[in-house]
Amino acid sequence: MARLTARGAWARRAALYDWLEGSDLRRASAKKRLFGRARGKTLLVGAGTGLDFRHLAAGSDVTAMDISDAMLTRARARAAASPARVRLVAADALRLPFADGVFETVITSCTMCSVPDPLRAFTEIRRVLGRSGRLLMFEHVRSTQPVLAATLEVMTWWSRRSGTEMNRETVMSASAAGFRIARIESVFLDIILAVEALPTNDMFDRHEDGATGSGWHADDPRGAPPTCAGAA
Amino acid sequence: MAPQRVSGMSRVAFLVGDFALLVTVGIEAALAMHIAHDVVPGILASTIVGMAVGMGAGLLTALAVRPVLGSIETAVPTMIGGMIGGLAVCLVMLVAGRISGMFTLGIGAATGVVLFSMLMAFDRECRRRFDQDRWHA
Ligand SMILES: C[S@@+](CC[C@H](N)C(=O)[O-])C[C@H]1O[C@@H](n2cnc3c(N)ncnc32)[C@H](O)[C@@H]1O
Repeated sequence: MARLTARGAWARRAALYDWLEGSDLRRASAKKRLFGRARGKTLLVGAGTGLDFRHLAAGSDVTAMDISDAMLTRARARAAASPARVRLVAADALRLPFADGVFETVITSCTMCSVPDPLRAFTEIRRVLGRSGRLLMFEHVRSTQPVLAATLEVMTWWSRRSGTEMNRETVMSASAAGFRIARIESVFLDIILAVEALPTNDMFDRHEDGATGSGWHADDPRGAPPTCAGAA
Repeated sequence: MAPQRVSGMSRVAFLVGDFALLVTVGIEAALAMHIAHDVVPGILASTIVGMAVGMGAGLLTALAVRPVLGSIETAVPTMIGGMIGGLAVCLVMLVAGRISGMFTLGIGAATGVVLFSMLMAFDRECRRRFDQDRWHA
């Protein structure tokens, strides 16, 4: 259901996406710096219309996935023009169709404002990331400044209708899913951040014990993971 | 508010853009409130109409410049600027009674300048907070 809703919302937004949200004049240098840190086989979650492809390292091997076919259709030309080797895949970030630990880098770019359950998405990302992998996030998040936070809250009343939450505590969700935050760069105040995170090792340890790859399971001593609402 | 590590020229250009946007939005919001108080009967109704029209005008302005200045980078400050520009005029009218169009314009521009300065200060604070860990590309 969530998948259908997300698909519908993003199919409607695809046509105007580049015009309304596609400019990254201001963000390009921070993106290039962040994505330049990708190593090895890379997964780009929530590729959209492929605006980020031009910031990928030349010759790198990138699987770019998105839930929306309409977005991916628009991304095709940019994939062909990208300096990286980009393969497009239609998939849901909440159920990544990849084996455990196959990627060395995962990139998200304004993705976690859009997935219905960021914690689950991060847990999936962590599953497909290798032990020494890295997560590179270019995300907009809730501000710590009360007036800005309240403004983002108000904006979410209507942005939510088209599939975007402006008030998510994405860095916290990543930590809750088992990532250690290695670096944060402020791109715009504390609202747009470039973040590098590394997987902590406990999930892999439990994984080797035969636990599920989700990072969380029913008898987890830390209790239930924060819900999406709690993380948002 | 301008992004880090962009070239000096781009940084100045974005700062000038942010400044111009916030001053414009402040003026629009202030004028909308002034006009609403002239044409809409009742203080509550005129305040609500003035605020709505001012914020609407601000958001349209932000929409026009977002391809250059960025979507979130324009929408968030504009929301705040649209609100305080109108509120400032209401407050001054409450104290001073009727005010001229030129004075309203000045109030709007001043709210834009104040908001810009506050965001700049917060930007510096954010950089200090996060910059202990700069990228080493
Ligand atoms: C705000 S757009 C960002 C697109 C692109 N990264 C950019 O910066 O231009 C969010 C993207 O996430 C995708 N998305 C939303 N929910 C998703 C999900 N559950 N799985 C995969 N992609 C999803 C949307 O289709 C959309 O393309």
